[in-house]
Amino acid sequence: MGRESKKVDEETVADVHDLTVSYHIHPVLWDVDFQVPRGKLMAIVGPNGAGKSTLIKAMLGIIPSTTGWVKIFNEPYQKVRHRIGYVPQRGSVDWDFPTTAIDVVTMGRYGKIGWFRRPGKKDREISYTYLEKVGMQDFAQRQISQLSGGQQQRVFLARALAQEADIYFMDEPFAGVDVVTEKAIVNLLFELREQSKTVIVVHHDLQTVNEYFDWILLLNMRKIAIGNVDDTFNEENLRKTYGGKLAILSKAANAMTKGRVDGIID
Amino acid sequence: MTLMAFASFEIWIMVIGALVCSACGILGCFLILKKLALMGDAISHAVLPGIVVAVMLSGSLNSIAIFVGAGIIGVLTPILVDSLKSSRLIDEDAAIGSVFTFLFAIGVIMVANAGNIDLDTECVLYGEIATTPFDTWVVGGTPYEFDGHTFMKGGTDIGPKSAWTLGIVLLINILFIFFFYKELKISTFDPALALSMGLKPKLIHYLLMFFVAITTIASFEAVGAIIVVAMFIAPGASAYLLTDRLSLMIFLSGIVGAASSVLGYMLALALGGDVSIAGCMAVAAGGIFAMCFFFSPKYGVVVRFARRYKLKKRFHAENALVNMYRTHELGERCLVKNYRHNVIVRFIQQNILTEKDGELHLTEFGTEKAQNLMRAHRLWEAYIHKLGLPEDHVHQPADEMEHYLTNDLCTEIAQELKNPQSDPHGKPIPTKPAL
Repeated sequence: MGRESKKVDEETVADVHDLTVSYHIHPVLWDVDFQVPRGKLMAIVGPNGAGKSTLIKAMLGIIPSTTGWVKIFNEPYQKVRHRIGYVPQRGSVDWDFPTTAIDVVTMGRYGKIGWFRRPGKKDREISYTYLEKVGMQDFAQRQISQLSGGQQQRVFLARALAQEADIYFMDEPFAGVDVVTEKAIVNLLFELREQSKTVIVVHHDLQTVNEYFDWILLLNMRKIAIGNVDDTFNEENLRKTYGGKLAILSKAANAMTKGRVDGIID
Repeated sequence: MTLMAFASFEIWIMVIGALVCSACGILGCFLILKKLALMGDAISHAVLPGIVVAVMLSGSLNSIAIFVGAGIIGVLTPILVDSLKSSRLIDEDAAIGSVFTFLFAIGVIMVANAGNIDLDTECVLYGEIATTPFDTWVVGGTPYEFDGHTFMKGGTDIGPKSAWTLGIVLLINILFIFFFYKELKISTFDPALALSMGLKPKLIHYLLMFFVAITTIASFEAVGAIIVVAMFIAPGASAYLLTDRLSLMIFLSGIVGAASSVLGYMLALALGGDVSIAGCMAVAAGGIFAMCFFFSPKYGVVVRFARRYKLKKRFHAENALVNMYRTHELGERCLVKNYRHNVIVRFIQQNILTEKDGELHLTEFGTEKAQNLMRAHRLWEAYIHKLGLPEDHVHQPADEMEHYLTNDLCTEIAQELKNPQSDPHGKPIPTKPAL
């Protein structure tokens, strides 16, 4: 591999600078700072309440951040929305909503279509192609509550593919899915990487990190480590992430919520 | 009053009622899907002070000022609720509950103290749909003063003002849903994705609330602040039970709304006397919802009951079949008198059984069916035994599961257990029947 192609490989696609996110005044992410190179499959790993979902939501501007900034493709995310795909947690929507699988996939096109205009024949064809890609074409006209958890997750994935983005954010796509679906999703992730797209995945299962991902961010209210899986995903970093040495950060957050009682200046 | 005029009066009441119910119903679909039925209630009450102020300023119930006042409060209410909610001191339902009752109560006090304005509490609460057809719009006439009011002389009567206002509001609602259909849909289903795409779900939300407020005002004179809530919720809730498509749900809610008006008016006529017509329309809307709840072909209680009954009947038959197989397995005689007559008749029809001299014999087909069930039963017993359940605990769960396990799942369990030959009680597990 020549020097120049290596430089392209290492190109930064997401730059998170000193990001602090608070729910009200209670900080849940502290000064998170990292870059993601192009073409990586990156897992965000950390214990419950570590702020993994919060991080990707903040990166996409779905929740506001207190300080810091995020650049995607060297631009604020508002300017590059059409190059971003997002898979929210499956549990975040009402699956009893009166709509079909193909309709949900077509929603992935809405951002590209823009205001007022309706999805056209081409959008429906594209959506159908992606539904086929996740093996759900036979369920296109099914009401979405009649799908199994794994099938619903695949529909969500097809919807993100329909966004035809360059960087994807996925919030626990493997949560509660069957083995077949998990394999299907992993193969799609590999395919996206081959097209040198970047995928950032909130991930729970430590056992599959080595197999599925090549880049990892260990997170627990602050960044613990980031880098390629072989070097970064080690015992020491895991201990730091899961070891619960966060007493000071938690106490600091609580102090911010309560205000200092033994005030220095009254 | 001529017969002709009387008939047109009745038709106008139904038309005005239908316009109210449809205009409210189609917006109500989104309130229901956003789980904000209570917000519709809140806005319809909260607009009252806006109305009173507007009436005081403009002196009339049919003015643009009212729509402006109501529109402002309509957007203000959810903003107030949202900011109360985001204080995290109280939950959303408590926030809605306190905001709208507070605003409504202020409105009630203002009505009582306003004295000379053309509003009374009863009208505010229940509306006066029966009088709306008489307040007509005359164009091209010459105005004259009488008893302090302005009337028109000559000109052409183009129908009740209410019908015009409501017609325009219905049209505006339809256009709103038509042009913002995609945005409304995604903002309702997945606001996070909408936000990440830049489709501004908050803006859409407040626009929806604005139109809810406008519609409330337009409906106010006809049905009042309380009954309008029924019009927002009942048609959409009925339509929700009838279809799996959002577009169809919206269309059906409009139809249900119109039907509520017609049926409600007929109910009012049947009851006679001084009964509230708007109240009857709300009752009709509730009645239609009840019908949908019980008889909806897909989700109705009756259909679900029937489905469960059918399943139960299948279980009974399968249990009988397993029983017969076991009897044969033990080398005992399977007697007609031990089984229900209708089960036997059905099994014979289905070529599962033959009967001879009071004794039952399984056909080849019947044996295969029974072996399938038996295999599922005993495999499940073996499987949960392996999971650690003691031998005497495994029969009952297997009795249940034998009805659900598919052939594929049975094969998978058999592979997992390395093709066991017998269950935990030592009974043979039939091999996979040839297909």
